[in-house]
Amino acid sequence: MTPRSRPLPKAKAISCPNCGGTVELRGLGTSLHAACVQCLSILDVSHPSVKIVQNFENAQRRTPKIPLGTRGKLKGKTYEVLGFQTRAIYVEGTEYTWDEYTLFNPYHGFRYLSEYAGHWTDIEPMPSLPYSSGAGSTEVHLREGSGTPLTFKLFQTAVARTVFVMGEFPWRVHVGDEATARDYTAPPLSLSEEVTGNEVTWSRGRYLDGKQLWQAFQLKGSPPAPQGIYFNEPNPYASPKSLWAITAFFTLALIVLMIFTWIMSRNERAYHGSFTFASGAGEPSFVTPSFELKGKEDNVQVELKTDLNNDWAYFDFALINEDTGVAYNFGKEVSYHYGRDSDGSWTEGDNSDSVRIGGIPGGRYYLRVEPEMERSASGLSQYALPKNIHYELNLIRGKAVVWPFFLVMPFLWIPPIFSSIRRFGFEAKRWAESDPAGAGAYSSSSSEDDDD
Amino acid sequence: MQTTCPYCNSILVRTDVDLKKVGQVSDYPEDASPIQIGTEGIFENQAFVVIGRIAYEWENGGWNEWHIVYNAGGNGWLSDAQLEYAVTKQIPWVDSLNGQLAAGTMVDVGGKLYTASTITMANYRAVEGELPFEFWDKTVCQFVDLRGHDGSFLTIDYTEHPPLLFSGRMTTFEELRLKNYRIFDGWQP
Repeated sequence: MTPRSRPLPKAKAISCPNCGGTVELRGLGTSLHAACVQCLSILDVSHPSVKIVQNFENAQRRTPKIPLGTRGKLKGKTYEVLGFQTRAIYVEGTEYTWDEYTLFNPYHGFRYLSEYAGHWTDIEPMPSLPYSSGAGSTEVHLREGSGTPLTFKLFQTAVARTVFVMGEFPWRVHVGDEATARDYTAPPLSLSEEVTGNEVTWSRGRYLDGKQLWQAFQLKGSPPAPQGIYFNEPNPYASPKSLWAITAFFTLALIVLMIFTWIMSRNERAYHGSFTFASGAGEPSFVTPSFELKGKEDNVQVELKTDLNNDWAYFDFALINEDTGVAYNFGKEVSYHYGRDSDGSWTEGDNSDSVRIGGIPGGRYYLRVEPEMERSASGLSQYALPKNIHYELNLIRGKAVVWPFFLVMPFLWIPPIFSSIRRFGFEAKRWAESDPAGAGAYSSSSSEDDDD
Repeated sequence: MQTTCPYCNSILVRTDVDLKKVGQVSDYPEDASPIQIGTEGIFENQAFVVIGRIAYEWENGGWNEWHIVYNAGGNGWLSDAQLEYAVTKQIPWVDSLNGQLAAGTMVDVGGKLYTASTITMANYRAVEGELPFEFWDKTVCQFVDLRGHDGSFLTIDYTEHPPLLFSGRMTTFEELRLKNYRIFDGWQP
């Protein structure tokens, strides 16, 4: 005599008591209900005597995108598709449907796939219950292992109704089953709470790329293209945090460099003179006494302070090296106008201005100055009189040049600002679809009543 | 101590040295658990072996409570409910669990918060192997499962007074590093 052995469960086929068609049972005895693929009748297969639970006439048939019986690998484990159901929610009178697939491994148990508009989520039961920080909170926290708890935000509350069933389920599924479903998200992760009667079931999900899934299950063709933004879809734009940190670092470096430039600049007056210019009175050009430009190569800034009054003057300069005769030519127009019109008073330009040239070697120099003016300030040129202006010349050697720093800084900030706008734009679109209180769902049921 | 005769399926109760036939195990319906008597595993660094089981069934399926004995001494239970696994051991009754528990009720047990998740009216379906108590003729019994926020798990068995309390946590097939489990046609773990 040998010990009685436990019969080893096997995949098997029964005939549907409704239509006589073949119903495959792949769940090795874990399935409670199975819907016949031919006539869609829901059968109780939890006992050897199979009973019809529900049957339908002219039910609208839906085709699973992953056929029942297909095997694929998720998280390194093989799973077989046992069941397929379509569920629906009603928001503001519109029906939104999504599909769920029951996956089975006889050692590791069940997991589920959901698909809405080309967005897939890999769902599994969870060992821990999440907890909320207080009544009325729209966040829950989940602690797994010893790490810091993850925070999930409530995205949607809705009543989910089963509208189509095919294949096997480890629970007593019916068409018409309803559950209050709350979806929480921390992309790419999500949590779902389903409340039915007196049972509360939590599951956790992870957004799954359709292409990856097609590969994992070796499916033909390509997955449906995802439409819109899904509640647990990862934001494709990286968090700008590190970019901001880098920008802050370079901004600080730039400021330090600017202060350094300021401190290290010679910034000393090499020449100063006051002059009067009378237009049309003889040769306008003259040269200054020679002066010393210290250091090696550096810039020279000529600052002009005039008493121009609704007038302009042009100053032609040549900075000439006394020893070599090398001349550096440059010029500056100073213009200052003001007045009053229908919009009020206005001014344009300034009677002080400056011009800077760079790369001037050290040595002894003198400046050749040639001012130029229109003879008249008004349009009455034939009656114009010669006029005088007074001006001061200030020649600065090694002027601190800091404006390029201010010019560069905004450019430095473009990448993180751009990156932040993109990332937060995506989040804004995601959350625009959110309905945490299920307000849309509830208003829909009342509006449906109105329609009847 | 109770055991099932592997040859004739009689349930034997061993009280000291007397063996008394108390009942017969009904034929098993097909059952899907990969665990069997003789399965070995490791839980929290403690090696164990499965020596018996109680099979239950309820409205929403069946589950097994596998009786395990640790090599280092002591026993416990490995439960397999539709391939969701938990390891527990009996602890003394905790008064904060007195009274009626409804799904969703939160209870503080030894400073830890638990939420009642499932209320089950179950039938004994079968027993097998060695169990740490006498078989008694209970047909229907109520169970309440409670879950914590860190994977911890409590089961209350209301067949005795005070009820029996089992405490442990959820686990997975991989974590238990099982050996000598059942091999299903066409499947590898």
